[in-house]
Amino acid sequence: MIRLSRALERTKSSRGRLDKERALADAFALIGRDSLDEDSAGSLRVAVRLATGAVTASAPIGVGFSLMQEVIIAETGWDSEVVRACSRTCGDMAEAFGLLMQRVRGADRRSGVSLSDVARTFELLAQASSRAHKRRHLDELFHRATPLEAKYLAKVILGSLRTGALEGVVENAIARAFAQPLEEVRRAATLVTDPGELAVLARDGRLAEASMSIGAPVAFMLATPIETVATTLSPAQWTVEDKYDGVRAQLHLHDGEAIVFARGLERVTETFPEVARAAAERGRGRTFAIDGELLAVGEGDKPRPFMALQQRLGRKAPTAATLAATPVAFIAYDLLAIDGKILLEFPLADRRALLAELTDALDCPEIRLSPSTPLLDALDPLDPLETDALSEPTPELDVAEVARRLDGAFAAARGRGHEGLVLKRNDAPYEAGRRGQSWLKVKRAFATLDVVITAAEEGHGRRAGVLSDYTFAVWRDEGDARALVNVGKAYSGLTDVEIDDMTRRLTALTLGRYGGARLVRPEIVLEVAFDGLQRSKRHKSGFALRFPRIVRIRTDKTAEQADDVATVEKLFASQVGAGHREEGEAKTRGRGRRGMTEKGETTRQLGLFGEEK
Amino acid sequence: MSAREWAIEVRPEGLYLPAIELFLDPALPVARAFVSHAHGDHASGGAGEVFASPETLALIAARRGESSASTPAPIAWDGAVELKTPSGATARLSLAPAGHILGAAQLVIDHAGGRFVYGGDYRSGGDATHAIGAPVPCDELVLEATYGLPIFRFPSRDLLLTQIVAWCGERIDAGETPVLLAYALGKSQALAHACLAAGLPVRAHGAVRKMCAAYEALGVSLGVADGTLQHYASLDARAKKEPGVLLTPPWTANHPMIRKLKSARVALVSGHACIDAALDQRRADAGFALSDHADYDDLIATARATGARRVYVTHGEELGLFARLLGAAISAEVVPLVAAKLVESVTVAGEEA
Repeated sequence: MIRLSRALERTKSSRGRLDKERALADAFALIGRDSLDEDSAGSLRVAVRLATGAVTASAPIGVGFSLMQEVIIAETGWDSEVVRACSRTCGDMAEAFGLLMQRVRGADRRSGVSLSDVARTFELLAQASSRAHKRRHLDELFHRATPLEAKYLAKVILGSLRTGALEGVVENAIARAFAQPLEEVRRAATLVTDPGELAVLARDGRLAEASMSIGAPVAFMLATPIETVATTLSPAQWTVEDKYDGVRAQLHLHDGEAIVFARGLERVTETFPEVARAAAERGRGRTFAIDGELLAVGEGDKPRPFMALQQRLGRKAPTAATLAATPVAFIAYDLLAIDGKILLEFPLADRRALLAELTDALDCPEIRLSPSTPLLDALDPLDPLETDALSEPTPELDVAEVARRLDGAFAAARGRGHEGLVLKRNDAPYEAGRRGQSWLKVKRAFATLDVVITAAEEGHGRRAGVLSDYTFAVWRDEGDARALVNVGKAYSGLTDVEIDDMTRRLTALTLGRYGGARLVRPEIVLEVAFDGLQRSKRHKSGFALRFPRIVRIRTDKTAEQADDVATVEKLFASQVGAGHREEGEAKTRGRGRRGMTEKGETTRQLGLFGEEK
Repeated sequence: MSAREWAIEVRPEGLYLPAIELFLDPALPVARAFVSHAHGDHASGGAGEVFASPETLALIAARRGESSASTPAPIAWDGAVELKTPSGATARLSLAPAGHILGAAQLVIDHAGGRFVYGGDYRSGGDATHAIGAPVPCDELVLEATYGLPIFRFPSRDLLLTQIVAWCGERIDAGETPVLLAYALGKSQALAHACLAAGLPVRAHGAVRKMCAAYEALGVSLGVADGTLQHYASLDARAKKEPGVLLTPPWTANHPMIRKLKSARVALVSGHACIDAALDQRRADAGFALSDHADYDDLIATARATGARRVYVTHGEELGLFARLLGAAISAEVVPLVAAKLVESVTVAGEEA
């Protein structure tokens, strides 16, 4: 663990990607080829997993900020107020832990913990049912750790390891460490998604043997976003599907066990018990791996918006009431393997045919086939104005024509309550982990609003110390005057340089401070794009935006020229009319909680460190 | 002399001693002030009458040009100034070195009721470019706690300077350009001195060079007059590529001058450099926690060594917390003085002044 911690510390202070790769590669090579380590393969596996921020290959260990804080207090002797203040200053509790640990007598002379110790402790943590048990395992681990090890172990546990050890870097480091061609490492990585296993294969020169196995997820094939078609595509070669507003997932059935993997390839089986149960019961005696989307469904099997699905996300073992209130279906759209046979190289048309057979055989509402239409058919019937003009669709439609008809198809998909369209090439293999030209998603921002910044907060990590989070408002008529009412908050969309500039401007506009937030004089106008609107009590305007992101800073507009609530209401009415959003109020989500959030990515919700109770 | 008369007030202009009508490092123009050292955030206000060390006054003049409207009132290091209090008693003002930077002084006020010390920006110890800061026994102390959290623990200054020089040397040997991000006044001169003493060529940003010249005028030789310390912007394209250390203020970290320099390897030199986020923010390759301020342990040790029965603490993001920790560590009453700032400035990690 010492070697790995040092390597991670080096990746931190090496800005260049190449330096990071070298630092990690050196550590992987040393660990993987250590002749004194009886289980060097095992150590390597753990080291690589830790470097990617993964705790274990499968199960989460269930250690959050408050438990970690207890451990830090016990290990360093400082009280919770000190630990919180230090975490705030560092922007990272794990880093504060490492720094405070440097003051613990003798800590810098400890021999440290081995990678196998770490792996064993993490397994024990995953199994431990009570907080007290988890606490004991953590105490034992950290009591032997050096300050630097403590910092990086805590980072892994808290999910704050962002030393740039991104997957691409790790793959490059693996290739470099064991002198394997990068292309082979990358290819193998899409099939063997456990980076630890990948490293061992690379070390042993067995990358060619990498193959998908049912029960272990493969990297999802991704669609390239397009607004509309820009190049000629031959409509006959393509099919079109609705783009669902749910959580991308893989459903595997292997050895009678059904496993659901979410977008980040983490296991979420217990979160969606009805889907897993249906697969296991209806698919008895078979094996398969299906790619698809988890979607909340309402009356008449109508899809419900993502907001509804959120009631189910991040919850282990939902109650019967939750299951009944928010039923979920797995919408199957691709088949990766069936009955022991790997289908990744098969053309989409063949995979779809086999998938249709499978879903027919399963015959249950929890696992449904996603309707798919040849692009030619999709273009016409959905655009009634065109039916007279073109009696026979011809394969040689020009770009503008396809684009125009796609607009109609897109509107129809929106009307069915979906996000947009996905175009897929019939003859393409399943390109695991790739965002290529075989799948194209037609997705458009719902609308944009010009809003005024009313408050700003500092960000975290890289964005600590600069004002990167903005609360913004629109105008509302109040008698004969107008007032600004908040409508949302955005965290991203600006470059570092723009954020520096905004920090200066917002600082000058600061009217007062409330906790971590600065109230600012409302002068700066932003154009904000978003994917939908919902009613919300969180903001004074009565609305909240979905996925708000900053498109640009409207230096050309004054605050007075920003949009008003009436505009927001019109937009809301238009989407309710299309059945795209549900009328009614979305539940406010908790802050500062870890868990699966938007689109299944495991992230820590933005919230100040030290706010954890 | 009553205790009330020697109370300290927090006014919008800055800390104020009503007994002798004296502001301490005010941020706004006032009639009479003591300025502890020449950093902009302390010497920003201007005043009718400015008490300060001769070096501080010289450095302020060098920073601002000669246009200052203030009346300088230097206090010699071995001298004193006497001021009358409203009750007719006399208070004697003298100076003691505060470490920190050249000219930085603690203000020692002896009055009938005891001794009051305003530490200004303080650090125990010194280096080749400035005098040694040491605790002054007193009854009441104002202590600046910029680094008043236990995560701030800096290695010894000698060790850090050795490490920085070694790092610069390694970078130059590797054909790279070591860039040291350091505050233009104080820190930069300490670094310039260490690098020059080790025989490394040094180029400086204009602001840094100007302050080096001011130090040199005060007797600290930094190679400005003899041309050893070069002005980076004046060099031609080829000379810029010659091996050497580039000394430049932290705010230039994302400036094209540095970002365009392909061979640049950037190190942040600041107490904040022990925090990863500070390095990230400057996109620095390395960090050295060389500070002109006291670290947590130095703060506690200093407060204890003065024997003060009351310690006022100022600065720092977690002032209330530090006051509690200090109060528990020493037997003194600790009072946090939260500044009533009119002009808010953003605290940018790594830009210590």
